[in-house]
Amino acid sequence: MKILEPKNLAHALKMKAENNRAEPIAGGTDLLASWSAGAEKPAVIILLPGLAELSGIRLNNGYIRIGACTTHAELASNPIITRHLPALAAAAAGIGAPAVRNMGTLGGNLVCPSPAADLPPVLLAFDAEAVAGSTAGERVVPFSEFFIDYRKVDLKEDELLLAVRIPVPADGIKSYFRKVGSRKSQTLAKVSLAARARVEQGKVIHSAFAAGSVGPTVVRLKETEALVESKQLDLEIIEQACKEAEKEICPIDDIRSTASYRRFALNGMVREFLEMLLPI
Amino acid sequence: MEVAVNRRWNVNGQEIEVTFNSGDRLLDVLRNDLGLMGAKEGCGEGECGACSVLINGELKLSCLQLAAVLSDGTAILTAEGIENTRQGPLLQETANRNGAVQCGYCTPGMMVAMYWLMEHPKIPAGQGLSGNLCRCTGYKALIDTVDECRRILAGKKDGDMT
Repeated sequence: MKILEPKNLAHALKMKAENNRAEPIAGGTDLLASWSAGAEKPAVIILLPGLAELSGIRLNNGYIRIGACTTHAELASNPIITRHLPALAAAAAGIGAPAVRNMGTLGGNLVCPSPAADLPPVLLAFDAEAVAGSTAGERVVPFSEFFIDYRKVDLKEDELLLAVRIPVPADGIKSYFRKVGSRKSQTLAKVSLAARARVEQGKVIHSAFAAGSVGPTVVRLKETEALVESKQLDLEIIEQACKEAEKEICPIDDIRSTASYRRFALNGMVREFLEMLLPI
Repeated sequence: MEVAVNRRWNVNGQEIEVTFNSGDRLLDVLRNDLGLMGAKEGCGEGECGACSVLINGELKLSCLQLAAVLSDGTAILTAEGIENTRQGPLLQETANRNGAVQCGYCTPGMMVAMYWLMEHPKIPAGQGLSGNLCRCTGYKALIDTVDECRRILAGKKDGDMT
């Protein structure tokens, strides 16, 4: 395995342009686990740790920009994230266990995402965008288009994922993240839900729901969103929304759970979020 | 094809130079090249914590760490290095007193994780050890050890040695 050690981002992008099949490595948690399980090692890897351009969390022009090499531990504790995007901090705080969170990165969770990955539902629910880079420049792709299919994303072979940018949520937005697994730590989601909404005069405005582990890739629950939009929130609407959410996912039975439990749990999470929005 | 990689690290307080294969995990380099057998291969996929080490002060898993990623100057602490740290003897003594060991397989990884938790007192002990699997002593003795070490360290800071 040949190792390429770029000096800066421009150097790394040039390496990727010249070696399309070179595998970028940051925390390495997914890659090394797959090698242990017997996957073939790539012929060439590009080391990303230490590239300043890929680290850091900044508030700029109404966006929060998070470098792709930001670790889950940083996401969980960074004051910009805990203040503006508590759902993202909560999702990051629930990944693996402390040592995994000190290693694994935001970018790694997104470039070859398991359907059960924890961060994609939050990014999708908050209209986040991927910032891809190549020697030709930056390309911004909304996550609604970035996640294409099972472990397939819109990243070209000469591109690196540089960052994620998320519009700063307006004041008064309520957000939600929950992962249902078999234990608190070191668990993969049986099903997960990220959501956000605002309530004005009892009506739900601009809600977004995104569920993980219920299909080949993360999905927005558009029918559910449409059903509650501008409606006076009451127990009857909540009941309808929970049923709608169950209908618009296509989960499977697998080693971690069953399709019927996944529907049941998603129903409960949609209910939990919407009940949180009811006046006290 | 593997390529030789050369690195200069500080391992358990010693400056060392080591040459290994580009695809080697830190766990392989520690055990095969440096003779440090504390870090163990339990699951080999980041689930059990038996290979825990500190890299530049952060708790990490040496089975998921590609050695070549660690640049010159990286500081690594393994279970073998704990006794020579300032707070290591307190941790060892407290773990002994609490009987926080049984078969011993998880112990080196546990000691590293507990040492890290002594330096990160805000993380609840149980949560902090959630990535380290122990299947014989149970966690009470381990959690008690972390909590007791933290109480002793906090007391020392206030100048109260009782």
